Amino acid sequence: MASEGCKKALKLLARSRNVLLSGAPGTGKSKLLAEVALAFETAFGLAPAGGAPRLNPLGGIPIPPAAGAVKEIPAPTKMDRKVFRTVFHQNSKYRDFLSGITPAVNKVAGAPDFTIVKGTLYRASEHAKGAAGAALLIIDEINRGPAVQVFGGAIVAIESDKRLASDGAKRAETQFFEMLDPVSGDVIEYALPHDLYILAAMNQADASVEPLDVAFLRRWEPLRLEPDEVVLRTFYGLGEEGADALPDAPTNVSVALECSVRAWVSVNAQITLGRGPEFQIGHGVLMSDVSPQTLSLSETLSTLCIGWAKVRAHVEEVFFGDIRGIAAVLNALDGPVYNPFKLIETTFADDLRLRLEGPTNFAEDNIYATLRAFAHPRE
Amino acid sequence: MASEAGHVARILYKEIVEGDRRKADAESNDSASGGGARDFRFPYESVLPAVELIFPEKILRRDKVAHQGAFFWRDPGSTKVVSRTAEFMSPTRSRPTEGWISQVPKFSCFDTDRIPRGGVGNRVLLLLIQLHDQSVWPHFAEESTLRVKGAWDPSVAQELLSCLDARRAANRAVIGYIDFTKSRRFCNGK
Repeated sequence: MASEGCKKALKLLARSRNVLLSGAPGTGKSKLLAEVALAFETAFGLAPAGGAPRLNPLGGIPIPPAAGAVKEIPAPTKMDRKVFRTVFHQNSKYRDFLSGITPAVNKVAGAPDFTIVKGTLYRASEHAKGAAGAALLIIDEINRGPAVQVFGGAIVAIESDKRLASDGAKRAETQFFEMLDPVSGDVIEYALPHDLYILAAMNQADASVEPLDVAFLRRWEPLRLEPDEVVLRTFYGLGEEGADALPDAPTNVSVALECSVRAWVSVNAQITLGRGPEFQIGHGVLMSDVSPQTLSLSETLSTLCIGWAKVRAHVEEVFFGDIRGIAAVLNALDGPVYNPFKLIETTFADDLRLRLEGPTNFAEDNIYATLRAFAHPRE
Repeated sequence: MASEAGHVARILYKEIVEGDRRKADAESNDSASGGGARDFRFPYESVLPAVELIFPEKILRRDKVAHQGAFFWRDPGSTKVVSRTAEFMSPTRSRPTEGWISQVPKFSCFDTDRIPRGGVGNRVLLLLIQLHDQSVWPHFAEESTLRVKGAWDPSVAQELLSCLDARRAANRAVIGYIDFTKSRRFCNGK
């Protein structure tokens, strides 16, 4: 069955048409985008009114359409459902998203030297204008490109109450904008259809992102994903955290995994204090396709090294230039003596300099002690 | 056990190709169609996640794994539900990538006259439809009916058509599965 997050996203899309998914890296944004895309396209598993596929073994079509309308799924009566996808980046252009002129490539002799691009939003919009059409446009990394410029004149028209009516007719509130028509080549007035849904995702923590202005954000219904300890514990096959202290050495796989969870919780708590909750690292960075319960202790420690290298890289980026901040997150200020990370104070030209010393890379023989130190209660 | 109007949990599907027809018509024992036995062949590893649910019991037979389940169907003109144990065999040494549904002639639901003839632009799919109550109902689907808007459940039609329309080598049969409970799917085309 679809996850609660997927159901919520579809419900928000049905209500507001534009949903902006945000969350720290590793909180499952991409996974949720994929899940929503599949659910939108097939509308399965979500129908509360008998809409899920049902077998009719009495003859004829074995699985006919379900009777009854399905609520809380975008465009439940539309059968021609399609998902369009794009990723914004620093070089994303209005031309690629809506329409614009581009040099013609591989043109036949005598054909025009230029052609008009049918951008992703335009194609999704045209699909949704079909009689049975509904389109979901997924924009990943929306804040990694110049989103406001890319949307251009469509920025107002995406609003739910400024679309065309469900039958394609113009309403009093419908917002038109000018664009170059890819079909005729003329500048036309264009409006967006009723059954075009836009699901965008962004990560506010990365350094290479562009700020989104308030007027832009106001046109989206927010859906925020948080780092989730329960998800990580479930993946690790662990129960709720007990009161037991972590042993000096990992006695089994569960101890190593428990140590990893506690360290991850502590690191996120420190990041939240130092930089804010949006800079935390999600549970997904410590998860993979392989169930850790099927691994040996050695393999588990090796797997933890991979995940924790990513956590460390994230901390170093988030606190770039702030050695003391990195040391605080890694519990190297007043942490336990067995922490392999140490904050060293030196002087250079009579000026104080800080240096964080510790293992260059995590390895099977140091990862447990390191994580145990990260998880050690802070003073 | 068997539900007549239950919700669909997953569907394993396979295009009925000319080799299957030749075997169904008992005209072939050529290696291209998988030998003389009447069976339906699948790429074993690719469909294993669905096979293990549709044929949930595992037994060892002559060093090979036989996945066991049960098929349910109705014979024409009868209201009585028939069921029979079905087996999906793991690959042999000579065909190391293929698993197959064995002893097809013992299931009247696979009788030759119940397989639509199909044709160019109207491929035929064998569907193994598993319901939430675990019962498995074999059916055949014609491409032409899948393309009729409103004839099939849209989620099922969309899934099957997208796999039918996917790009693949000309000599490869359409094979895939969709698991509605796990949001998991496989299609052997791109």
